[in-house]
Amino acid sequence: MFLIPKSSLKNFDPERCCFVLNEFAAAEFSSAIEMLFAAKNINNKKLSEGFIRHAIDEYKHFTIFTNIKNQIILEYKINKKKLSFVPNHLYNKGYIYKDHFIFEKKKINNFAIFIGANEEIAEKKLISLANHFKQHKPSAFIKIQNILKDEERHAEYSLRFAKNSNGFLLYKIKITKERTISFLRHLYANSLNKFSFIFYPILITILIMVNFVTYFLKLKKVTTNDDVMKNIEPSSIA
Amino acid sequence: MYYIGISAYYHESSVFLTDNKGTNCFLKEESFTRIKGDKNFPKKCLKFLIKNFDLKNENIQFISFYEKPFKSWWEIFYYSIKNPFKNKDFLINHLKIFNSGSIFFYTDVNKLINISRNKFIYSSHHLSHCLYGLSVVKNFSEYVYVTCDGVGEGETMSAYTIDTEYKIQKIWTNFYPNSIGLFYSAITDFLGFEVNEEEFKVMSLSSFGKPKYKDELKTIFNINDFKINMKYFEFHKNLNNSFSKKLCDMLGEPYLNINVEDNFKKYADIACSTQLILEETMQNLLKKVIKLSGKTKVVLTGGVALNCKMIHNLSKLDIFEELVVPPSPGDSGSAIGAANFAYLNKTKNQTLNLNTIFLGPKKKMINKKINKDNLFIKISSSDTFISDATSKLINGEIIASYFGLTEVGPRSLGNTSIFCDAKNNESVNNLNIKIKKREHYQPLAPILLEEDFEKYFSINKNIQKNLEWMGALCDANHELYKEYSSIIHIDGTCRTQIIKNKDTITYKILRELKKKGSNILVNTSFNISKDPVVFDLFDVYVNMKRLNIKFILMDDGLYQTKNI
Ligand SMILES: [Fe+2]
Ligand SMILES: [Fe+2]
Ligand SMILES: [Fe+2]
Repeated sequence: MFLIPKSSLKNFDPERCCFVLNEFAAAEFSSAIEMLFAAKNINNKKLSEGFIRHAIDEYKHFTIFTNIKNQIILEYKINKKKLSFVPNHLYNKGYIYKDHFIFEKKKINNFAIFIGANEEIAEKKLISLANHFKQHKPSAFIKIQNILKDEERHAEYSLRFAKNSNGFLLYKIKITKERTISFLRHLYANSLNKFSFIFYPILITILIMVNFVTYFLKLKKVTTNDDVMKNIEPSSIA
Repeated sequence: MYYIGISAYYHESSVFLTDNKGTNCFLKEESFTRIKGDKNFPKKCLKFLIKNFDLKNENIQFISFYEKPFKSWWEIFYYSIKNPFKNKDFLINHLKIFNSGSIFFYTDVNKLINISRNKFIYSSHHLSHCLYGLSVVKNFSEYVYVTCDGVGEGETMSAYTIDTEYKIQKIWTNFYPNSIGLFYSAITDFLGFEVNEEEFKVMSLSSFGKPKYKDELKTIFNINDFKINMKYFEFHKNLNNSFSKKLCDMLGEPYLNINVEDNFKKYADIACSTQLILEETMQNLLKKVIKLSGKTKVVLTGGVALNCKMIHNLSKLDIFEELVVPPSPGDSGSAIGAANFAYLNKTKNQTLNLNTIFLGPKKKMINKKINKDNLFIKISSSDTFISDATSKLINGEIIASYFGLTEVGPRSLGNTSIFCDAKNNESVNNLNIKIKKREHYQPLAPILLEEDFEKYFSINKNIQKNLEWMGALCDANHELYKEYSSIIHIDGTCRTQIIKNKDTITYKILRELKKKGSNILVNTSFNISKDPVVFDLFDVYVNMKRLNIKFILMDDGLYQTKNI
């Protein structure tokens, strides 16, 4: 998982649980995609196979979270719509960058550190999520424990590779840097909505201005009978 | 010289490249990013084309966008800005879209490849739909081209004709918000399905219900003058719901869990009523444009045309001589229409004629750099694999296919599919519920040789052409019920595909299967729900592991996944 959702759950609230599970599913799905992309683009058979296995694990985690969510939805008769997983939303939620995969922007040594650092964060958040379920949904607790084992393995494998390929000192510097960056990245992504209010007054002002202009603008809609190709200006965007 | 058409930013992004001399390549961005329905600028598609066709300014005639970017953005905005405060959330979002939208198409392309500005042209949304439709029929001047979708550049329904001199005339248009497409999508939303994605579930569900709500729904969408009552909808102002409280007052609570029996019944009734409104609307629309144009053959495009149940029911009304729905009638197919626009612009009196439904790249081109042996083991070679694969199918095995050219459009037509023997109920069930995890009310599609079609199915001649790409439903005959009942939908219909081309692997498989006692295969797309169809061999491997499928048919043999 490369962007891990907030999992602050206090009392057992099934709907809130489903929401968090859905976010975790999204995070798993996103990292599956990232790993699959890395597998396709690395020129090393062994590493490529490692990335494939990692991708399959992450897809499996996605399915596990989705199944737990669906079970709770069914059990507590929760309104389902807002809890459905829509792949296209991954971009807006910040799980996947719009114009690149992480692998495209990092050398393999740094990519390994990136995975390692983020899998560590994922582990911590997963432990708190699992503990939340321990009392209320023991079956979910066991399933999340299994995911945890995988994530531990992912972190260990990546960090071992990073240590070997970077050398100890460089590794230490890079992992510290990556941990800080990842911490800040999470802080930013999780509070994205809180910042958006800054732009609100500006956008409202634009709306009022445009409304004023359009009030005087009467766009005519006509049904024409002419030659369409002659009517249309190919180079125009309007 | 290449002509490139692009459709992007609002629906699944796609690119089409052609030289009209036999080189064609249709790609979807989702294939590369693995995000189903990816609507971002198709950067990875273009990169693929640049690499494989050595694209540069000199060998590109035109890059054509499928609509007018500003017009498309503005028309929606213009409608909602009349009430800036009531619609502010929607409008603010629309302003934000401006920044990352199609207005910057030229800049987005030029970040990847330097193309001079005069090579950029912009078609019009419904015209692109029409020009795509035009590329799939012969004797194009005999047809009236009807487009019906959610909305495109402020238009929701339109009709075009074209004469032998290539003069295109728009004969009728309907405008936003009066959209049968948006009406259907709003109900899709109400029923808890994903808008622009899961309308097909409403269609499948409709067969389980009765049209109990049809009179109510007719008061909110007028099937005669195609006007919508906006008191019941909020797609122009609300980002989360496309319907209003008033619709809930009429139909009850939205988003109920459909797996509960009472909810299922009620929602099936709503779906059935909605489907009926759609069909009656389209019936009136077709009657209108046939009268206006004087033509009795119709090419129907736009997202609404994907509703094959509607096509099936319209065919029985005897209002047209022929109805053709091309394989990818939605916006992603419009990339082809946009390329056709470019071609017509250049030549003035020629259009593309694409006589194949497989316009995607060859699997060999996709996997040029991948060593197949790293991931798969060949278990039978080209002289025995057809026989081996069919024996496995007869024994109940589920087999994936990955060969030849890639399909265009949302349906897998054999080259990138998952097959099982339709006679074997256990395998069919296994494939539908366990492997594909589809809802129980969604039927699976049969595929068979053209010569066997009439034994098992019947269809009106006027929509028969669509059978080659699963564009229409047909009725199950008595014979089908005897041995293949598992593939028949509750209403007695099937979404059948026929195979004509004797050179294809699918044809050979079906012929061999016949010898072994079964005439029909189940054919479903090679993906997991929420995932796009597999594109390269890595996707194939990962998906086979995820789906637990052991065998795969490729161009040169039958393969099994390796354990890595
Ligand atoms: Fe994971
Ligand atoms: Fe992981
Ligand atoms: Fe459209």
